[in-house]
Amino acid sequence: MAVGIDINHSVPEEFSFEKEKAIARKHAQRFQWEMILIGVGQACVWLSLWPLVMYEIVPLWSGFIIASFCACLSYLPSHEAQHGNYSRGNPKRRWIDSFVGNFTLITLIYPYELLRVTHMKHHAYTNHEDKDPDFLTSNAKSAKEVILLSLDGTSTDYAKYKDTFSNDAAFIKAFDKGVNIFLLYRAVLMLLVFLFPLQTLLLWWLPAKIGVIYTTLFFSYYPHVGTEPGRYKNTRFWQHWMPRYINHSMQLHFVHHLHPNIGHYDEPKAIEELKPFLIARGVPGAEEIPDRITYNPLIKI
Amino acid sequence: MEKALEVFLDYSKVWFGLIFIGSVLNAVAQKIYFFESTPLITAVCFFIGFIIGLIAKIRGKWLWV
Repeated sequence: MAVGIDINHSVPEEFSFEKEKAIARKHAQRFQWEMILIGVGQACVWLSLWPLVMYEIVPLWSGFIIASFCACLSYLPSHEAQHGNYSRGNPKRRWIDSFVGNFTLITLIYPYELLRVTHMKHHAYTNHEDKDPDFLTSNAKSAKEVILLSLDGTSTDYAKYKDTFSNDAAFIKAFDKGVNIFLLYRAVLMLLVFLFPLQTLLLWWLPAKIGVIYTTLFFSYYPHVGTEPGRYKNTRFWQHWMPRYINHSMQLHFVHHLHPNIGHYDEPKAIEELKPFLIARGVPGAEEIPDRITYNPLIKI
Repeated sequence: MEKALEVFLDYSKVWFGLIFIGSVLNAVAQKIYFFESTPLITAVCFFIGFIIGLIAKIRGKWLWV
């Protein structure tokens, strides 16, 4: 059984789970074209950097800055794909999930299938010490620890979770597929670094590390730190000095954990409508949600 | 074959140190005037990369996390 399905917690009928779900469904219809544009766009920009830098049209240092920016944009479009938010259950559109999910992650040097299956387990077992693949980073002692874990490449112990979910055939199948892609990435990285060492370091490896640090901090650590297992307790609303578009609106990550099928750019509208439901459920920080979500709705002054 | 691949992957940090760190160190050394006349600089760079990878393999981590 998944952790935290505490939907029967007593709340007035007007804030029932059924009503909450109906509102969420309303915001989970639109085709997420912005995400496809960002995902495919950043990957194309990143790929085009290689010839531009090789032919010295773009200097390596500015290539590094652009590549790092691309890496920071690369996870979220894949994340929408992981939840099937492009196909929305339509088998004819499933190729979009797969294509965007895989293509956008080239910049991060991560295999889509591996992230997809471990992310599904993160949703099912959020904050469960032995079963949440993000536990180490979402429960880290400080942002510095998250940065070090991400740099070290040990923020998720993939071998441990392969053992934990060894009875889940679909998980293992996707996991092994992801490992093969990971090995392919490693082989390409080694070949490229041998041929073009500084370009590989500054256009791929270092930007990918920066992208992973950014993603882990804003997607895993800040939304979950200090929370506990439970559907309405495992994520929090938080405040940050950054305008929300710079941190991918992750202050609003809570609603994603409640209803992952709501598209990322539809989350602000959904939260505005769901606010009374969240307050009734005692969601951490829900009272501080503004009635109207603006560019930086949760700024801490 | 599978066993050989397993052993190979078990030493992934050593390979990474040797190939990735070695290549980067070598490229940086080639750009530094001071090292221009140093004999065997390429071999030294790859050896340093190998040692860094070996230490990481023994410790199980790259950094002191």
